[in-house]
Amino acid sequence: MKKNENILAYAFIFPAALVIIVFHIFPTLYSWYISLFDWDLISKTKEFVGLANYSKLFSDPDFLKSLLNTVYFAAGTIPLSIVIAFTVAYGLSRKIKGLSFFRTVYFLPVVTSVNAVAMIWLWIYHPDAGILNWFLGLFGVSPHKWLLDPVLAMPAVILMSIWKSLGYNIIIFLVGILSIPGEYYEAAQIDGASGFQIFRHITLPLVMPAIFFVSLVSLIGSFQTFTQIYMLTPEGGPLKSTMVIVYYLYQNAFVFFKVGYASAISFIIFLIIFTLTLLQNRFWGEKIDYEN
Amino acid sequence: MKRIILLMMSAAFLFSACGVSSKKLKLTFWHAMADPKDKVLLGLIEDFEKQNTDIKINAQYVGNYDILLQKLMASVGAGNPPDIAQVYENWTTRFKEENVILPVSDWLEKDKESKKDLADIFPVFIKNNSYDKKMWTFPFNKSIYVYYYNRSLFKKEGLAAPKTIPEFLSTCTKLTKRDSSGKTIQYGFGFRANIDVFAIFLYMNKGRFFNEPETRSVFNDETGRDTLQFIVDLVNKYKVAYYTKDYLDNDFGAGRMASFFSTNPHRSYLEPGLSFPLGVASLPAGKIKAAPIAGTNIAVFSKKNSTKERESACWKFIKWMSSIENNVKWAIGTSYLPIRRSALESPLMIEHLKKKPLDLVGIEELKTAVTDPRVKCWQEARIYIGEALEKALLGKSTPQAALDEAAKKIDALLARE
Repeated sequence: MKKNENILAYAFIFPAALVIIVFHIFPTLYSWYISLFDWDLISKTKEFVGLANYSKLFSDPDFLKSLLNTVYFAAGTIPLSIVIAFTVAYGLSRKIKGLSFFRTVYFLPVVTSVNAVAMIWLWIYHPDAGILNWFLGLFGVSPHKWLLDPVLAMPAVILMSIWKSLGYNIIIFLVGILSIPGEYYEAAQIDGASGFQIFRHITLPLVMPAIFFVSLVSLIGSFQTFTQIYMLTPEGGPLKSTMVIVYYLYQNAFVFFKVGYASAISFIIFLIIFTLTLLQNRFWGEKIDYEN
Repeated sequence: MKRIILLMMSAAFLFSACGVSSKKLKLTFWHAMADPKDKVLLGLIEDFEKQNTDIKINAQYVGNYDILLQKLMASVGAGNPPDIAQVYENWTTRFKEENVILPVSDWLEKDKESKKDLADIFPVFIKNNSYDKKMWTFPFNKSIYVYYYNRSLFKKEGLAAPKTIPEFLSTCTKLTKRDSSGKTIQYGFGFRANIDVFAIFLYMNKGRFFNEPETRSVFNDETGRDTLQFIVDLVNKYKVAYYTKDYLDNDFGAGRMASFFSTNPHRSYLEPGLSFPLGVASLPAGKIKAAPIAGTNIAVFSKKNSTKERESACWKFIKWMSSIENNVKWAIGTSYLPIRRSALESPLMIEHLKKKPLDLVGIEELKTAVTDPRVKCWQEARIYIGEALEKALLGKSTPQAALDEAAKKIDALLARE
């Protein structure tokens, strides 16, 4: 009987496992293998170069720049996005008028296609006809070239990314806040805790798992950022100022057809994301109250 | 539920059985012809299928040229390419080196009529599709760069399209308008910050990208430097040009720029959205008159278990498409260049050019046509030269230093080819 149940369990797992093995695990392992070769995707012979692709990576200024740009992107988006999303979520957790309206408005960008959103933002950032320059002009700020300016291009991309992902983070925080049992607040009030104390000692610690989740997911997401870069700043932006690591991978693999080199980049991305996940897990893991 | 599944399965089986039973030879054709050009292509394919009932052409729009190349490389790598596809010359360099395409000269040699046909095709296309005296691909949707301008803005200033570079500069200056606060509201010229604008000016200055055997960069010589300096000056010194990384159609349509360079068939996308009459003229002349050719060719891909029937059907299609009659239909419908001289004498074409005389501009330019390099690393080289342009425009580097840096990178790539 027990054996039969096991067989059934495996039978259920099999289809999903097959898809993951064929489309995730095998390609990942194969790309690690390819990273040891110099190959253009169509040559019949792959030239074995050992770890040459990797050693080349660390003396490649474009790669280092793309790595730095990715860190810049992550640092620009994640903390700010968390603070804004948390603030908005806190507001939306109160019983205010037009609640569902606001919740919908904040969530709309998330469900809209990045491509469509980027097209709109291309217009917002247009140096002459853009609404952003017009708006800033009302306060006497001289027009900027946003996406054409190597200094401003990344902040412009960051701004759009925050706006785009805000709704998702808000929902997570909102669920976290709303799932805190009312008794905790009542108990705190009876003990005479101030509003800030309640926030500091009840809301914040109990929402920590959500903050942890959002920061982890956003961090991993930033290391996979591609579409908004591709759409807003073709070819990695002015002077490669928005060339993030996945874009550099894409360019090497599918524009230059240096597949071995691109595979080496993908392995580095894998290592970074893997390490980050481990580190963050260890650092945050103890401070989080999973009781709830 | 069970019954529904059974029903669906049997239906699927029936459909697939139908597919097997038809004896038509199916050819897959990957192209990048977007609306409205795809309609012309599909119309021609329909005619071809009517005349060749044993062949079915499965035309698949795969997206833009970048995506087409990605798909072709991946499908060749996976051993399952389409039968025919559009290819640029530098792609052909890759494909022929790996023997994944079949040279069209194999059929041309066997075909008795081919001598006459080849003599009729503009030599620049034959040359550009030939490698080591062998014709590998066949010219298909060829285009050429022309000067587009806003006729109502030009008329207001009493200007005609510039014929020389000094005229071009003075035209740009007259058409650049500033408002009372000094903000420029209209530029004389606009361009996309990539290699194309540099290439156009470079060729008309008698410059080249590489030496004759295409083994070494020469675009960073004096001519290249002066060319880049001129483009930088248009933007930063004379302040009469505007650049973007996006398509220019919207800015041109909104009257923010009075002129720009693009290929002649761009017209079919551009014109329908304009509120003013469009002007098309040949590129202004620099030291010489020169206009770069663009557009792709057709390649026949080799396949595992390929049959003689498949290969000759591919050839039949290419030959049919390039017949005088069909080439005329194609050129008229899309504003692409006719590839044959005799197409110009066809009554249909003469009639069309009377109605749309602007299509003649590109055809006239064929006399001064120049072609892009065909090196394997051209896709990558284009990016580096585009970066050099950007650096110079932003003042991060002098034109000479920017070009030298790109040349160094590209020479390293060329050394490996």
